[in-house]
Amino acid sequence: MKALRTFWEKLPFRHMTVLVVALFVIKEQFPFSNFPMYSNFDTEADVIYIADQHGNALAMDEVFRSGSSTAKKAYKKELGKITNAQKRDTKQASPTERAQAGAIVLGDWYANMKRERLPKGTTAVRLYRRTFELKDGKLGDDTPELLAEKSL
Amino acid sequence: MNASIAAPRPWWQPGPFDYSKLEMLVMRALFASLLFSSIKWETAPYKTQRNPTGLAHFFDFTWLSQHPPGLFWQGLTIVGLLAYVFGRAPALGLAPVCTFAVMIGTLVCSKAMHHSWQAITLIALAQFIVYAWPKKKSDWLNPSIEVHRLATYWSTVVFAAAYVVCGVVKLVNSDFLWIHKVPYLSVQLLKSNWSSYYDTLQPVADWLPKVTQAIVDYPNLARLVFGAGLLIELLGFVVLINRKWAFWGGLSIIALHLSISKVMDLHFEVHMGLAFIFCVNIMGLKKVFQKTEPAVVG
Repeated sequence: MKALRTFWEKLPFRHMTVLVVALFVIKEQFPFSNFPMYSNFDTEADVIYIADQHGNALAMDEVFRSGSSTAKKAYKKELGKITNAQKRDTKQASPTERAQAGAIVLGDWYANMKRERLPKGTTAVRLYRRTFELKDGKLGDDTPELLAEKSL
Repeated sequence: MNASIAAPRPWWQPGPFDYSKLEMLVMRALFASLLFSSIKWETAPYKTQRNPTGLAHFFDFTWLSQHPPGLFWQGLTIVGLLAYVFGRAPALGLAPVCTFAVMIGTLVCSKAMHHSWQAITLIALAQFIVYAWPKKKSDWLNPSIEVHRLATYWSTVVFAAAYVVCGVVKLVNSDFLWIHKVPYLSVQLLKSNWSSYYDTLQPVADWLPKVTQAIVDYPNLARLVFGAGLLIELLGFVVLINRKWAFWGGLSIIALHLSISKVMDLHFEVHMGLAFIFCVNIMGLKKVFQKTEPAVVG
């Protein structure tokens, strides 16, 4: 007990150090977080967006009250649920599985859609995934992948 | 957790600073405003908890989407915050805002994780605990200056821990290759800027392709620039040492966030506000630049 007390008294920045360890262990359980944003990255990164039936992007904040990065996180979570069940990484997901996760996200965003804020003539909304890539020292992006579509 | 004046401690065993009553009054006023305005009171869009986090594993908060806290509850929260600011039964005053910050934050983050509210909510909870369990009973209703200093100290502890753990996680999750991988950040920059475009349809900055390609073309320069950011996070604990370190550490953190806002279009106003309130401490500037080292309260 005495040794423990000595250790505690000599621990540098003891309150903060203990809190750092706690946050590191607890990870993402609101309001606790280990703040893992941009902690690891690859040669690829993707964004999720919603467009009309022609593929023209819609202003997500205005129309759906929830933006692209939130949609991306929700999509990754859904995709993770599908692939984790088979102990695979989300990067190994098939187009069908990506479409499955995309349909769930589009359903959620559709439920919060402000129809009156859609551009005139919109008959459907589509969820796309656009991937940016660093290859041979050059940055580029592929044609966006259509994940899901919902008619109005 | 005794906060009475004591012999100076070594710099690596910090304690509460000798904040004056006025400094802490201003800090509480600014913190209360920031905390209230940071809560996402418009809860209607959050109808599901598909990805539960924290208390959402045990409780369903989706009723908040049907019944967003209206004027009555927001008014009650403001009344509580006013009591907190003026130092009257601050634990009671903080209770409504802590409750809403946790419930709404949990609901919103159970849709998709965000990182704007964790630090400020944890600081509010830390202050609530300090005020709810004071050493003397009389401190519960009308806390002494030592209790206020302790609450401020724990706010800074939580703030510093948030940055240090963020830096540590970067090292661990990247197998200690974070600096080496910095050129890959160019892809992340493209992603975050285009993500903002899809939010608002405001065109991405003209300089974006040039800057992202420059990161790839000059990797060591990029490592130096982004590595400095990582260093600021890892050294976040310095804000606990004394007023000077808190001031310069706070300014560095604000500068870090401003540069991230500019380059990545990712905005952390709440974190900048916290750094301004608890580290820069505008009312304590005179003591920062005075020649004799300010006392640290034990």
